[in-house]
Amino acid sequence: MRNIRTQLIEIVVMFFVPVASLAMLRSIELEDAKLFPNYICYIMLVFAVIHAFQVFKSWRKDKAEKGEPAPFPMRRVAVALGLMIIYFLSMEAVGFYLDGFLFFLVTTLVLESGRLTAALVGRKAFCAVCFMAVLYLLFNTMLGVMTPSGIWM
Amino acid sequence: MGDFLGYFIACFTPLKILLMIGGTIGGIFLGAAPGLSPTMAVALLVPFTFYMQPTDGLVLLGAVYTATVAGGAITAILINIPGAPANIATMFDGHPMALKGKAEKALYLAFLSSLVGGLFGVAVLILFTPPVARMAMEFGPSELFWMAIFGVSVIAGLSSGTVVKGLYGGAFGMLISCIGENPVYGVERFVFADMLTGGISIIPALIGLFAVPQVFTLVETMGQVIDKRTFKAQKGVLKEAIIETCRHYKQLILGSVVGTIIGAIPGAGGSVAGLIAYDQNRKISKNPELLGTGVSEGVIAVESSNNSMVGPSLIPLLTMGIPGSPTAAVLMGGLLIHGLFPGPELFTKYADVTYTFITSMIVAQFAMGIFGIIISRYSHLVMNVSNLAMCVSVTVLAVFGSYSVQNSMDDVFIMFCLGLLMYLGSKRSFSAAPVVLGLILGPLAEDNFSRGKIIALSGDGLFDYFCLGNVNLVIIGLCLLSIGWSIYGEIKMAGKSVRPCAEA
Repeated sequence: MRNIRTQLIEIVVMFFVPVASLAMLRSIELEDAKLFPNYICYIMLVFAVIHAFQVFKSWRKDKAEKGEPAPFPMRRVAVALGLMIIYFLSMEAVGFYLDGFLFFLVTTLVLESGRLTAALVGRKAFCAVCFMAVLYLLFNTMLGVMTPSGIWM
Repeated sequence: MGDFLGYFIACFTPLKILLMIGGTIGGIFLGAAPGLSPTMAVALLVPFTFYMQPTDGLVLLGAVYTATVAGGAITAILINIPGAPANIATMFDGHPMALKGKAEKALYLAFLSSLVGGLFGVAVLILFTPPVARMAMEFGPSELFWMAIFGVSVIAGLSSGTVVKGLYGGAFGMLISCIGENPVYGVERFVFADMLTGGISIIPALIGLFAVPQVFTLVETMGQVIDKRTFKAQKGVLKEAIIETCRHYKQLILGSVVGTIIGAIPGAGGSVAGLIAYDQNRKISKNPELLGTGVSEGVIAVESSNNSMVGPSLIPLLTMGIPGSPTAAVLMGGLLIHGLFPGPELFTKYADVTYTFITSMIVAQFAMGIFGIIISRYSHLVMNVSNLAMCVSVTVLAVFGSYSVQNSMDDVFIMFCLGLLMYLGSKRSFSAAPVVLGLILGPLAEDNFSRGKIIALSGDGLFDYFCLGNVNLVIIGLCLLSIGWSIYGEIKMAGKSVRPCAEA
């Protein structure tokens, strides 16, 4: 049942993208400027129809569910996603190197499966410092790459 | 010949040698790190070459490309997980050799045959690129338009997942390449946020599409226990491996020729080359029944084929802008970032950059062979890097790479959004390669479509201009053939998977 629901969502998304794009293109007056994306959208619609047909055909053939899929580690992925978003949003304010160090340290500690000890935190902090120091030396000092400076560097 | 020697000597500046060695060692490590693909490794590196001279940047990317493919053999042999899709067939005999206690020998055989195959492939690249480039000079807008469509259709058809999803992904890539101003008419399209005014930059998109899904996959698979084979280096094994490689010269030739042919076909890729070489070796082998039980010839045939494919995969890229593999598509980003557009101009206006890059691939092959043998002795260290450290490092590098191209946070958000979308897509068997190809080849297709339309309306008419003419018909035929072949393959596979169920 769950598989059928995700397949239905997939089909809807495959139709939605070209339809929404065609709707956005309608506001453009110059016909030639929208000709190529229009054709692409029509082609995408054709593929979406073929895919929907394939999926419906497979339902008729194989109605029985084949075993339970492996459990998805939702909590771990959600935590990683949240930390990444915080990392991106705070980068300009905090600065690339400090923010990168904090992201490295916090992520490795939060997602670590073992028990947190002072030694483990120290080791992770050391790894984070080394990684960011290598990046700084290689790219900032040697290649002169500009990065957001933020509150420090 | 004199020119060629001049370009070859130009590879031996201290900086270029340093870049080649660094790229090779880094590439082998990245190839050997389970969970990181060669394509992603090159994608992460591309923005940093922006700060180098074009030749230096391309030399580095060429070395990394060569080394990651070869480095993938380490995981294939020691933990039965291919480091790259090109190393799938390496597992068939490589891992059984490791189980027999011959891991060290299997690794040496892999790097030695990769060296021979790689040199063969680069020789073909050097010999065949100029004539193909001369042929491409004759192409007009209609031919170039169809070539772009062919490039997307081939990779879309052969990518993982279903053919329809691959083709849909290619079309989606072309659609998002339309974001921003139309190059001919200057009209804005799909600009629903300020950050999209300038369109989607190739490099952040490449990084997002290849790196972000892998980061999340690493997070998902964190903590999984893998059976790792380790070994202690012994004396005399290298000599034994060299003798064995020479003894199996038939497998070396077979693998190199198969890899070269497959590499030159856009989209076919290393995994196909390795599997075909393995299959063909079964036909010429004196003891085919031993294949799969851990014999040297299986490793030699596969590894020579997947590395000989590297050079020829650059022929359609450099001459016509049609990447031969997903990694070649990312390498194209490395050219574009320096304002070098693939095509005949690369061999006239920028001949020094192009030929130095091509000849540097010879040196890179030797570096890969030598450092591969040295590093494989310490391969257990590479494989012990935790998934957690790897996914955090890749995230930081992805952010750094996306930001550094235009010093813009908008690029970082575009990279992340595309990556997240691709991760969700990968859960439903959509693959990144067709999307990237569509994104790269979309502007080429649209530009030539618009120019061709102007020419067509002042002369033959749209249908005659785009659909008639020998070259057009051949390319259209190839497009249909590649899609038809992929659909046939899918139906055949579906038939195979249904039959055992029915029999049961």
